Amino acid sequence: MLIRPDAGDFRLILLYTARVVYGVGLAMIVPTVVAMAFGERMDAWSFVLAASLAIGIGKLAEMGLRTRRPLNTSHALASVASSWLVVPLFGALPLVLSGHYVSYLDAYFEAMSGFATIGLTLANDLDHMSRSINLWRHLMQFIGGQGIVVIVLTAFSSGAARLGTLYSGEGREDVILPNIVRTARFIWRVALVYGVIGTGVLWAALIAAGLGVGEALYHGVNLFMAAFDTGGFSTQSSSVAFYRSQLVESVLLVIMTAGAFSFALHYQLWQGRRRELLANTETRTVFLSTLLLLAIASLGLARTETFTGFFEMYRHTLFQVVSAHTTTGLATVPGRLFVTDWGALAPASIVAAMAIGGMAGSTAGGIKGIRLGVVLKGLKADVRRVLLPENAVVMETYHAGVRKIVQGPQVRDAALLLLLWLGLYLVGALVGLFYGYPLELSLFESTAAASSGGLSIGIVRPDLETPLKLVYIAQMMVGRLEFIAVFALIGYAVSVVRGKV
Amino acid sequence: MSTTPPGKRRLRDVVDEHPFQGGLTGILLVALATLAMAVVAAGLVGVMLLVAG
Repeated sequence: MLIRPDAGDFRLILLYTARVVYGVGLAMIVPTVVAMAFGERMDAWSFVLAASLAIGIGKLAEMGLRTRRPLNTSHALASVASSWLVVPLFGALPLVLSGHYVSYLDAYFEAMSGFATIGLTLANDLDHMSRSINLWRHLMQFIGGQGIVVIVLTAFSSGAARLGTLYSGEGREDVILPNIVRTARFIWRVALVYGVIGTGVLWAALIAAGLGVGEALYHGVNLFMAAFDTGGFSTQSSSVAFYRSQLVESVLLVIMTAGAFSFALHYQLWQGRRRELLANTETRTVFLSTLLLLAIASLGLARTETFTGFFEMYRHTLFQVVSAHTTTGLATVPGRLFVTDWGALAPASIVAAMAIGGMAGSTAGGIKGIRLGVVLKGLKADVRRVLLPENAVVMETYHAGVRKIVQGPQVRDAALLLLLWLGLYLVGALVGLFYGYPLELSLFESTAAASSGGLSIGIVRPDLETPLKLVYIAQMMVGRLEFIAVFALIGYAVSVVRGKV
Repeated sequence: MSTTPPGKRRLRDVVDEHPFQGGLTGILLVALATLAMAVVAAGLVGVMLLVAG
């Protein structure tokens, strides 16, 4: 039976959504200051307008909608989904006012791509975009990567217990520390500490690559946010190829990998527990699949003879496969080359890498290593059951901090989510086919949008068909929230349509 | 008066009081893991290319 919400339920959902809008409005103060510092007056006014609207609406809603009704699971999940629908509306305002987007829909697409850390862009003339607007694009990824709802609510709300569902509703599973508030603060701490270290190293690498000190800092800050939050936006239309530096690429490889590691694993690594890297089932799964896909992509590329030497071929393959597997989307080659020069096997490996994605509880998207690992362990157990004597006890274990026994329901849940992910990839591909794009191109772009892979072969461009833009926006959101929160919001919407309010 | 066990004390120190120490340890381990993977993958790709001719 479907939920039967009343007006009080919607009041609560709107209240929590407004709180998130308020928090994102406060975040806009950062690009506002940058716009003023660089003399970008029009952009500064855009940010003031957007921030005022977000803060004003958030404050008014807080005053008008305050309620003593407790937040239950369905409220929390629907609040998360509605926040992710509404927040890009405000995030898109400075973008559309910048003149780099054809329409408000394009700016909304960009904002959703930013917050959901996808990396697909509809920006025109990216190379001449103002610093503040570009910073806002990357800041959206930084905020969204850690989780907009959790961050805002842990900063502005009290009562840790009721935040648990909001936390999991945003696609996070691991509660690293005893309560959600401490866990969310640890996530922020990791992002900020790595931010200082990563930006510093990138800054040095970019100076070595020939950029001026100030320019290198600007690029370093933006590149860190794009890489660690596995976002994939770039300040340049040619992405990382712009820097022509193996050193910059090497630093980015490490930061992208760090972004695809779960925060629970970072917690272990911060204590110096290096054995966890080898023992962790999810790390093993992701590393093995990266190795396999890298080998397949290299074999495919070797057949095409696109690159003249082994080193040049391996350098680009490594970067693209790691970028795809961590679902970042930064690139050292133009996306169109995947179609024209990379043959069939290499782009197929890139699609598979994006589809699998990083680790659960990280900033990465995709199916996630642990689910693939658990399903494979379940399959292995089934095969052993068939081969061993009937009375043999078959047991499979996996390691995530501690060794655990693989349970049947776990395998079933992981397989179900795996199916949902494959379905999500397929939906976008089918719509792409409907609009006349070849299967391999449709599947590539659909997987990039849903998994947050963000590499593009060129279908996503300002003159993309509007229904396809809408489908990609939906895929980005559903993929980022990993289904359940979206299903909860749909449940509320269906109740309204059926007149059950 | 209760005292915190030494192990837990250490965890709290690195996460709460010395985050840069923890962060540096963490990112260095990630860098080592990335390097190891890149080297192993290069070897694997090299062997596969040799086998494939």
